[in-house]
Amino acid sequence: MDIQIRGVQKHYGSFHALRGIDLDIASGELLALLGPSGSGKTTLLRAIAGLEPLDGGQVRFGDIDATALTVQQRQVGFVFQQYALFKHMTVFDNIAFGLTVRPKKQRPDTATINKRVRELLELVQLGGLEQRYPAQLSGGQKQRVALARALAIEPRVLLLDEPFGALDAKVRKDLRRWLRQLHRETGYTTIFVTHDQEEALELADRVVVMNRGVIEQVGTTDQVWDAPATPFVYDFLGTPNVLPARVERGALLLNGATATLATAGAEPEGPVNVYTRPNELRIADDGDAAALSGTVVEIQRTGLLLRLGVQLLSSGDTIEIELPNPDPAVQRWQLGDAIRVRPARYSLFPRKATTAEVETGFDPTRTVAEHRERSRN
Amino acid sequence: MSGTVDVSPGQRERLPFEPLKQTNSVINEPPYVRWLLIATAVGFLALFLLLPLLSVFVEALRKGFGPYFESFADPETLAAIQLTVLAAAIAVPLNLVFGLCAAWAITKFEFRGKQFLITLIDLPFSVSPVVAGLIFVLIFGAQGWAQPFVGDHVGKVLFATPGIVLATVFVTFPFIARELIPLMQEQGTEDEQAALSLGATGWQTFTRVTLPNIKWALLYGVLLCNARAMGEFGAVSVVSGHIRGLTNTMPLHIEILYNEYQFVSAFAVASLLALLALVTLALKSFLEWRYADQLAATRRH
Repeated sequence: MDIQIRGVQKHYGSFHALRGIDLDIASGELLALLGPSGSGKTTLLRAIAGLEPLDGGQVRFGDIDATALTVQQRQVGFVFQQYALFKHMTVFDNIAFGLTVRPKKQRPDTATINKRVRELLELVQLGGLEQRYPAQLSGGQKQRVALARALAIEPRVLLLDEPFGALDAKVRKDLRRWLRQLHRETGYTTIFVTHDQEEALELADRVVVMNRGVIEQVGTTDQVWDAPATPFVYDFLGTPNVLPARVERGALLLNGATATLATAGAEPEGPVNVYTRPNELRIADDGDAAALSGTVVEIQRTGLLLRLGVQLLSSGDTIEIELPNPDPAVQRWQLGDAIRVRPARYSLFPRKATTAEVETGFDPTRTVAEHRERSRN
Repeated sequence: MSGTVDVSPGQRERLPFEPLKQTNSVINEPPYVRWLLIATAVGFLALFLLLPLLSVFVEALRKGFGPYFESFADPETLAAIQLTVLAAAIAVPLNLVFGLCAAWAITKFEFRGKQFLITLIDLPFSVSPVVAGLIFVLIFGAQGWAQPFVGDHVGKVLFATPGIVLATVFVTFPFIARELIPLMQEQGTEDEQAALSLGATGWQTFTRVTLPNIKWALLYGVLLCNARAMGEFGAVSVVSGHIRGLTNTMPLHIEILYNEYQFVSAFAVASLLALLALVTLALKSFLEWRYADQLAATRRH
């Protein structure tokens, strides 16, 4: 079932948790709500389920106005972060719960319920555990029971709140793959909340990046990774280098006038921040006029990657560059080596000019670290 | 509804082996200090708790079992026992419902005046029982403001069974709510939300999810509430009027018997109350031992 969200507002006292959210979710889609804590992602999920009354806006399931429905009527499968399994019931009774509480007329007979629960147990690969109590299950098994319980009511949409948050890394990885496969088999429209960018990118068809109650970007995993729409998305998906620069007459001036890069053309004139990821920086030739000169101040080798800290001569900032671990015969970097780098890929975002910059054309007071701090807050 | 959990988490989480006992640990005191402290504690308990309890039974049985059981044949004593049981039988179920409602409201919903409600629930704990009794005298007494309404239509409240029941309800009000609130607060509302999202009605959620989660704490609260309801003296004393065979509860009757030098009878009735306390304690200990993890959160681990 497709879902339309229009202008959804939610306040908790003076805290504005959702600031007018608009979102369309296609039928059968696997969508991730990604964001830091306090970004409103869980609130949005609960709003879709009807667990949070809204202050404004509308949620529609296909042609139905879900805002007018109660939690029970919405018929959504909600999987809670801590699973919320009923401790005093067996796995079987937990999964059957949604069927046994139906009004007498709509309630399937015992044989049908038995059959359905057994099918679901097979689906979540827990056959034979129906008489166990939740306390006797591992975290991953509890998660799957919670999922089976939500699927039992044949939900219009499946909602998962931090589905892998409470599991260890190995189980998480297995469950992720399994959930992807389950989604392919069952085809339920599925929305899950996560703060883990890797999880969102690996699992979802589309990712919704949220921050402070607004949607920063919606797109396929490729779109949000390759073309982050805002500094926040850039920062949240990885740790970019932020370089203060200016755009003048269509040319990008990096660090005063020491380096010039061709801009994509559409950027506004004036002060900007250049966002570039460590793996998007390249070692430059000596003749490259657009390169930034610096000194190697940190060397870190992690498996296939070589990570260098480079202190720029122009500003004194240290930026990070990530290279595929090179052939030792080609180049061995030592601390203190001179190095020239240039961004192969980057994005520009407008920046407020400081007074110092207005006077001198360059702002030496702001470091990369400060930029990160500010854009995160 | 399905059966109870047969493996409680408290037992499950036990280590497969017990850590070795360190008898010569640095944090231990020398033996004489330990024995002195233990002796002081045990001596104090024996003197102030065990000895009075024993003396109740010794005094009750001073003239043998014959007179002991004869004292229960006295119609006034029987009436007192009946009245006490009646008052508890009304007060405990009422407070069961009130306590459940209050705990449910406080722990599962957010509303204005919640703190005030919590304070109100604690009021009977902080008010002296005599004052509690006096409140009812002021309301329902000859000069009380409710007398014109109640006195003519319903019959007497004060110096009659209704007054005694009211006083008992008032004094024992916090027991069940206080027992449930910490536990329900810790359990949160996720289970209920899960049940609702699966299509359960409010009542189904309550009976099939909430109630099973709190049943042991509820039983525990009922036990404490019942013990207090039967043993209450102060508040009941003020509203009872001490009419023999009519408005005397067991604690009041014991006092009267004692003042009339009927020591065997007085202690015989007292031994009944003491027995009630012992049974309550035993049940309470059993529940704490068996269902420790499901009882109030404050007693966890």
